[in-house]
Amino acid sequence: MKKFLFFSIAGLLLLFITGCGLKEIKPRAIDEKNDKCVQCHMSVVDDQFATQLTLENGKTYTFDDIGCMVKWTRENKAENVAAQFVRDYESKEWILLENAIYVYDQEIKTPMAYNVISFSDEQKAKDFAARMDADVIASSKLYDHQWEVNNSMMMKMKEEMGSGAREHSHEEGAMDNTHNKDE
Amino acid sequence: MTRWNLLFFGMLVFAALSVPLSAEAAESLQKQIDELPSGGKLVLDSGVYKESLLITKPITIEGSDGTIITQCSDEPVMTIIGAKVTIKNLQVVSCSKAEGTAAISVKGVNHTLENIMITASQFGIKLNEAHSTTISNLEISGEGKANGIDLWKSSDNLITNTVIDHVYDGIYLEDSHDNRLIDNKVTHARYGYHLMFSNGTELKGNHSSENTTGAMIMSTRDTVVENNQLLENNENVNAQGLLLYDTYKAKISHNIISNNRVGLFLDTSNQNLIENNVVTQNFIGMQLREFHENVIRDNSMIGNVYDSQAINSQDNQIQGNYWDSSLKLDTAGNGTSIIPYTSDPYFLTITNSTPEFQLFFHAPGMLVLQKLLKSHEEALLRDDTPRMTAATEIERVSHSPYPLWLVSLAMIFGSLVYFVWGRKAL
Repeated sequence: MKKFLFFSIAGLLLLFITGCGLKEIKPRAIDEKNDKCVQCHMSVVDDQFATQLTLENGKTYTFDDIGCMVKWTRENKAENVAAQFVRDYESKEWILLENAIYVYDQEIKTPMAYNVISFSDEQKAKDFAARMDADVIASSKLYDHQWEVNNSMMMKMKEEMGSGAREHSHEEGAMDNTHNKDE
Repeated sequence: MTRWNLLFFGMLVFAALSVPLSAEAAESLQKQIDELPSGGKLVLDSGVYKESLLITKPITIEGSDGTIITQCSDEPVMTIIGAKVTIKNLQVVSCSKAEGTAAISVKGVNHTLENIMITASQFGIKLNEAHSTTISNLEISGEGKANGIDLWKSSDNLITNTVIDHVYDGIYLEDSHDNRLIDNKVTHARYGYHLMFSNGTELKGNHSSENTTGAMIMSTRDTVVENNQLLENNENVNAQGLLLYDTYKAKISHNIISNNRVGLFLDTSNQNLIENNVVTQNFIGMQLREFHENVIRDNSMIGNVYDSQAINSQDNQIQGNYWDSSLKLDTAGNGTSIIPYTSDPYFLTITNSTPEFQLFFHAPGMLVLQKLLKSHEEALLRDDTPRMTAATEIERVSHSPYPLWLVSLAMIFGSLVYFVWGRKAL
């Protein structure tokens, strides 16, 4: 009986200790002065376009645009990403990337012109998309989206440059690179 | 009695005369503008005009000393549309609190803004689908909330001799092509010159200091950056002189890039030419990441804590640069060192992942580790023909030697006195 008590207490203690270790990953506040987008180097404004991700080792990276975070994740596959956060377009509340719903339209202006915004509420996203005649993207399809920058300008670039710029883009994630889209 | 009558009559006449006069003075500027024929000119006396103006036809509005037009509503102080509007010699004050308003909003073609002093709580000038505008001799001071001059879908504009202070971005270009920015000066802003998705921009002879970043060039091609001074951009942890990101075929030459945190930050860009720049006294002179097929030649890297660092940046043509910190040996006597310059990203790579390791800067152990765990040959930035001397002489500030002598003599004398006297006392 004593033995059982000892083991159950030890077991509870163990659970307690390990339970403490499993910290829930929480998004941190954006520091406008010192945070920069690790992908494109622009300073991160504390607005609805800001995103962040936390690695397994506890490091947090901030981004100024959902597109930058997607690009970074694709280019740094070796890093163990624990959680990715985006913001609700209306309330600016942080939400997990997989819990959000996305709207894409060329007319939506975002800092790096990937033109994708995030909502926590599906209905609100659909309403917004309906008003703009925009596309709704489910979080599961987010990485399949063609992340291209500012279409009109890139089209022009492609016309003028031909294949010149495309050859030098990264091999990983051919789709993510704006310069070899449509390939 | 008749005298009184006469006086009364006289006063009446005077009043009758003065009423239309004062009415004319009170007539709004807008009305005067509306009544002006195309090609007409309106000269404004000095004074404060509290109005917001809409100018839609080719006219000239010229102020004199002390002509101030001011407005605090959500409207721009001046809205210019159409073609060939000229605004000259004015002061414009906008104290609008509404986000996104501009002191002067411009659309259309061939407008001229000259010699205007703008104080704006939001944007200074917004060019929205404005083409071939000439903006010269302007002074813009803001409150750091919005851009000084903001171009959107605006091409072939010339912005010259403009002084911009305390704004968000000094001059911001988005989706705007073939613009020329010449001899401007931006201070105390976030980014001095910020180019996004804009091709064929010319940045020449500009000055940018004490900003987070001197010039931010992103997603552009055929940009020319020449003879600019990008200095003292070092207050922020992410500060740099010049940043290239997603940029193709830019020509960066003859710039002076000094006292920044990072001098040149070159990222994700191809086929650019970087030559004859003087990069001095930055923490990192030149930082490369995913930078391919570019030419970097004849630059002078002087007095930087780190001359260079490169991550995933092979196949660049790097030659004939002067690297202050390198070992040099000229056997042929042609001014070129036979010892190639290489820079190992080791220290910067580990401090990137763990910033606290910066404490070990130049620690003996770190140097040993760096030698032991040498990075792959292809990870190194390598210049096979480094120069023996800097291509461009930098000015040396010569201090007078006398104070130094005086202090030295005083110290020698002091120690002698102590030595002689102190020994006797024992």
